[in-house]
Amino acid sequence: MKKISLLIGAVLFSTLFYKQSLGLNMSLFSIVTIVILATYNPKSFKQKSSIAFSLLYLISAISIFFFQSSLSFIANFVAFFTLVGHVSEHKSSIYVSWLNGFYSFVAGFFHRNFNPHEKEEKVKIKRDIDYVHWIKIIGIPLIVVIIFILLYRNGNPVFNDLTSKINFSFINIQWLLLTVLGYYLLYNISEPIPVNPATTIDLETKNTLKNKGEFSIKSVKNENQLGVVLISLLNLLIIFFLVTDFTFLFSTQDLMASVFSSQVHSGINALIASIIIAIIIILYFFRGNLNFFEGSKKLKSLAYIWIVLNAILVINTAIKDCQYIYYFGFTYKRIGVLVYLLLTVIGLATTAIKVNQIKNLWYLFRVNSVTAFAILIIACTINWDKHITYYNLNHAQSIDFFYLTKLSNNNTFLLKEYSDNIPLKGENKIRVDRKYRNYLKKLKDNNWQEFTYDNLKID
Amino acid sequence: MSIGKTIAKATLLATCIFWFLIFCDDLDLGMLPFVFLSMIPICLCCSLVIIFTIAPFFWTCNKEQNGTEIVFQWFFPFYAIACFCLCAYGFWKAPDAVSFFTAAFFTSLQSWVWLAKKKVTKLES
Repeated sequence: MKKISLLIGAVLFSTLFYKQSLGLNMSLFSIVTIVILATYNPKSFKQKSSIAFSLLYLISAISIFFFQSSLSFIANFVAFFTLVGHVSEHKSSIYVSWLNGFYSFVAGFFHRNFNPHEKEEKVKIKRDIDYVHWIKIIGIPLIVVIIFILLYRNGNPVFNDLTSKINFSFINIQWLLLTVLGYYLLYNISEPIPVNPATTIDLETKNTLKNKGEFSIKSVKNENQLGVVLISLLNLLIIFFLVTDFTFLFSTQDLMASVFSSQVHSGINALIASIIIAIIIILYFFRGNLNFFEGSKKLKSLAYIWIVLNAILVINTAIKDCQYIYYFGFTYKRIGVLVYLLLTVIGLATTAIKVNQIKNLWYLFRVNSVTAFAILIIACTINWDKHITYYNLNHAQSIDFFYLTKLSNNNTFLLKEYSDNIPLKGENKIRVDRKYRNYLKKLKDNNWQEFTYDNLKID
Repeated sequence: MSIGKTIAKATLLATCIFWFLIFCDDLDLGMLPFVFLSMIPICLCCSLVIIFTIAPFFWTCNKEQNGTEIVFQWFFPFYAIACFCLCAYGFWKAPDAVSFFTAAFFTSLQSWVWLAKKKVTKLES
């Protein structure tokens, strides 16, 4: 029965993807994937987390149906690997799930082919399958149905018309090859494999640092002194940087786009360097015994101050980016800066928690990778192109119309509406009309597998 | 570990996959002599890949009884992922060479299994 589900899945795979671009087929394939995973791993799907990851995978697949953006494709693949990896070992960290999911997807067949124990089990299962019975169940009804179809075709012209429309011409050798590929991929993921020893090590590694017992007070004191001096100096430096930067920010009224751009980008570069160094230094000093040394309270306070100052640096850069957006509108890069700043704030917060609750490096990796994954899934559910276009057309102080026409087709209807309401002239009008015409043609040419939400708008 | 046998089997498998995919696209019987001729460069590629990228992993595990299994479990996943990424990148850069990259991917992974299985059998006997 399980093998039949794989075969049906493989046929669906080639039916959905053979010579088709991506759209509705990704959403349907995600359902096929979840059904196969649930069929083969019923125990794993009793876990709430598995159901949650399945839902996230479905959400990312549905976002492809709605937006077809690159971000939703990336989110869909990441969610797929997360789900498959999570089924292989539900207690592992998310980055280990990605590794397990990707490995199962790529080479699950070869891994199981090597493992002698699993092969023995398969041989036992194979003995239980009654092939003659299955041939009878599938073959005899098929032959009888075909004979009756031929008989009814002669008796009923409407039935004859309908059955003559059934066309199997799409089945050729390449279609069959894609079916084999689909079978290979579905077989690989049907019973996901944990990569060892990575998974075992991950399961054994806890989030909290442990006191290793007695340690040399003198060396810890020396390290504490070095930390206090270093972080105090860095705090002074960052305060000086912030004061000068805020002075510049509030003293200037109107800036050129190029000045804004260089301000934001240099701010971001400073931020990246500052935060990476900050986290490395904090991790170095709080890697072991210093966490349990009673005299390290001062160092901890300085570390918190440094984290707060870095957070202020983030706010400073966010203000610059928002001003930039206010004057010149949204672009992907400007939104990317805001997303990066959000991730940075979360990274700083988790570093503060690490110091406060004596966590280890793996805690940071675990929490921050889950956060990044959550942000990716949330981001893929937003129609960025449409929002960028709407904001820039209605609120931005100056519009880069060429940029808007170069965005994906998600803003085509909005641009057309704008073009009709406020009659555009010249090159911009030509660009919008061309984009609209091409998109309508593309939508009309879509097969059912390639259907998107916009297809429903034009019908 | 019989590297010679593995290279021979890998050459045969790679040739089959490579030409099967080409003939699926366009069946030209005039190409048949090239099938046999192509076995020379394919054999060379297989030898280089097996000797330089796969066999060294197994040369390190002679002493232990379950060394092959450990080597397979430790290194095969990362090898498979790296191999997939390289082949996918190659396919992305040169879509016309799909048969070459497909053959390279499946043959290298199957060679791992052959080498690992050979070793297990030899140790058990």
